[in-house]
Amino acid sequence: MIWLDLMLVGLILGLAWRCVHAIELMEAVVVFVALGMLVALAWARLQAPDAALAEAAIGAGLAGALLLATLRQLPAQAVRPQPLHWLWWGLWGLFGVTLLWAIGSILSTPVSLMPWVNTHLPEAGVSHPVTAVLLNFRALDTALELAVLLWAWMAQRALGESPDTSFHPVQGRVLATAVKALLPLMGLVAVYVLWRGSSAPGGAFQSGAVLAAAWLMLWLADLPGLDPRRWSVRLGWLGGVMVFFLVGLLGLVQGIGFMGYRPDQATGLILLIESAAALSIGLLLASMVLASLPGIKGRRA
Amino acid sequence: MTEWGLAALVVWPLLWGALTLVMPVRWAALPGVLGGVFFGTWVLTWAPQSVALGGWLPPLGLSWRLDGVSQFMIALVAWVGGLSSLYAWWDRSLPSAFWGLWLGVWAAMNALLLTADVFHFYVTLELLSVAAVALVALTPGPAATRAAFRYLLVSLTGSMLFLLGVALLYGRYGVLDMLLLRDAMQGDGITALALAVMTLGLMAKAAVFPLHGWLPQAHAKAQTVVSAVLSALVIKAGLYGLLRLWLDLFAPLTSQPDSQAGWVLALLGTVAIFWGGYQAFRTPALKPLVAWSTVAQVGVLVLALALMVEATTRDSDGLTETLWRGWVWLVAAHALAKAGWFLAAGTVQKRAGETRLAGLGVALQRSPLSVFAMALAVVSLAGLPLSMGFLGKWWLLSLAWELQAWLWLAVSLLGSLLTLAYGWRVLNLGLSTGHGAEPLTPQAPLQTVPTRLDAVALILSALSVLGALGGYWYWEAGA
Amino acid sequence: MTALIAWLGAGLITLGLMFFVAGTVGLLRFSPSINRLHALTKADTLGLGLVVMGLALQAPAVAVALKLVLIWSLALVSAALVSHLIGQSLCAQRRDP
Repeated sequence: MIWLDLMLVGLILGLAWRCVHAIELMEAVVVFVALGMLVALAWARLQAPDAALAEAAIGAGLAGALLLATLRQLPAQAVRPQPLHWLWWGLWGLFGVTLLWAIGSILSTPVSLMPWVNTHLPEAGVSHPVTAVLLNFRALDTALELAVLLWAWMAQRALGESPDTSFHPVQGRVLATAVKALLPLMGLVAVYVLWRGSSAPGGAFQSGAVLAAAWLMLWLADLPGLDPRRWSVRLGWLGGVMVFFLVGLLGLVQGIGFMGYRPDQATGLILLIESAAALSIGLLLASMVLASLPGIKGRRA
Repeated sequence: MTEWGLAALVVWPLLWGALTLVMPVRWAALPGVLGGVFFGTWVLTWAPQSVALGGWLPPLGLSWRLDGVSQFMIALVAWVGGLSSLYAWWDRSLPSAFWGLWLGVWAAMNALLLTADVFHFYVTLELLSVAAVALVALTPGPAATRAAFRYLLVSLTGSMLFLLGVALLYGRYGVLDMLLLRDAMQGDGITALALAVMTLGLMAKAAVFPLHGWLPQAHAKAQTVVSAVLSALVIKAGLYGLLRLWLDLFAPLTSQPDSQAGWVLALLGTVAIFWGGYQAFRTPALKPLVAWSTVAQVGVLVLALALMVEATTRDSDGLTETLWRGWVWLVAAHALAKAGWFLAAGTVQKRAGETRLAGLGVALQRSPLSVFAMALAVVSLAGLPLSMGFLGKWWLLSLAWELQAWLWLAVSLLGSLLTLAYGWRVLNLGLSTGHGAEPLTPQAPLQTVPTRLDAVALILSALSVLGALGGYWYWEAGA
Repeated sequence: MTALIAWLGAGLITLGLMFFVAGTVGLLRFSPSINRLHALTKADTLGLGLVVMGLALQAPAVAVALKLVLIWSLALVSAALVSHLIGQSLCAQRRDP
């Protein structure tokens, strides 16, 4: 297995190198997506399936879609990477070696918070330790991460509209029919991934990524879907953050403390937060990609 | 009750900021800002305390810690932010997207000042960077976009370096809570490496020389009120982080008697003072001048940090009341003065429709309130007697005196002189009657800009001088 | 019996991998994009099908085997759909300039 891991590491480093040094931006984006998939594999090898799922869905999938959508708006050009001064090579090399040494010496004395997590897992309302940490023990981290996503979308909106360039319209009904057929399945997967998060790898971010993909496919097939002028969609963007913090305040009312749950209500409240968060994440991610795609306004108006 | 207040410090601006997406923007912004000022002021009356969020005690959960430093910093954010919001409210050229982003910055600042957890500190930094970068990008045009993009890259690199340090600390000690980390801290290589990368990351965010390159562009090209809040407040997030790292979290490392690391900070601060001052003295345009002045003033604050670190190596009291009170005072004086100066500078530039100093003469002379605001800001930044900045400089000089650090004492005096020099460039234009015998005539008709904008700038600058009156209450009654 | 099934599974996976290699070579070497698409879909459908069949033979439970088959059929649908879209885009590009 060590040889496979070394191969994986080699491939990741090689692809990262290629991504940075690609002459054409298109090539860089494609390599970046491939890199994301390999990093997801690396997470899986590190026995972090939650991170692997998120990396594959968001790091490779949706980030790739965003990059491709942005690429279409840029004028065709080749970037010639600046050769790096040898001094920088030396500095970065030194930094890398130091880091390797540090990681090596950390590995010899493993410490972590896992014992605490396992001790308190029965009171957390969920049985999957990752979900317990993200949604209960360190809930404010996750709530603010959701806020980061919301503010990233706010930032994108503030930057203005994409230029309107035309698309090749899709001929025939193949795409629309297939999307219609696949949609219920995607919804099912999203709900399943969300539900599964309480006891096994999965959760709001992964489920939201599936939802975002479903919305994007609806749009690609020119079916009625996501219209940012609709109130429900706008409310959906902030639903996750709102619900998360309102439940957090509920903890204060009940005397548990800010961002706390009563142990007997934890399961239900966590599921409520995760559902709202998954919807929000899906809507936000899909909106981000759609807003970067040229021609969105012309097609919906 | 105070736990409600603490939660409101973060939740209130955040929720109203989010609501700007679905409500008429100003209807959401008004309660957001008013509440922010209210809670940020109320915080001064609360007792210092720790709150374990969700009832989960560290190391499992994350906790908030309200101490003197965070109390005064939160109040500073509330007041400078509140007055800047007043300016923004009256500034008709400001895009409405400002409000949601700005409330996000506010909430992130409050969360950052409250947290006692290194990973959560990183999360708040991330929210702060996203919103702050977007604020810079609000200015239309490629120049501002380029400046914002550069700010984004530097800020993200800074965040990543900080996160790397957090990962190293977690790998080494297995906890993320600052107090627990401090108690467990050993003087080994990994810890030193973590300190180095986290310091580097925060230095990039605070624009400490030599990582200041993004600041003059980003702060000069941004909308007036954005420049003010970025220079007065957002920069301070990185500096506050440096204070926490060097004098609190890594104190067992940095306060060892043979530790010389503080001098590196002092050296960087010194170079920043001179380089920033020199650039401010020769830049041709007004807002870049003010932005370069920020680079220099960050140098002063870093120099002060270095002297504080040196002070803790000499006696074992750690971060004493005198030390942090002095530093926070210095920060507050700079924040008020810089916000006032930027608002005044932006107003004058708007009136003239011109950024170069050479073309601003007439507009300056038609904006007496703004010129007065700039004059007061320069007075406070240079630390002339009877101003708030003076008390801060006095504290800094007496600290250097006690440490017998004559070189740094001379540096901070020279820094004041430089501040007067580049400040005079602006004031001279506003006070002289013309070049030689010729009276000044406007090159272009002046834009009509309401005088109340000048007035807001003047209030902030006046506070940066009159704040000295609060000195007794702050230094004596609090001690 | 189990050994036989294991060997059969391994053989099927190896065969599937060979299709993947051939498909990748085709993707890299063929010149018009339509031909590349052809090579790619061979790897996707047949190669993945054989790998899935091999894995299903070794699966510990029927449910796992069925899930593998579900994955394969979804990959089939998406491969057909994507090829269709790429083909359309190629045709449109040929007409455009």
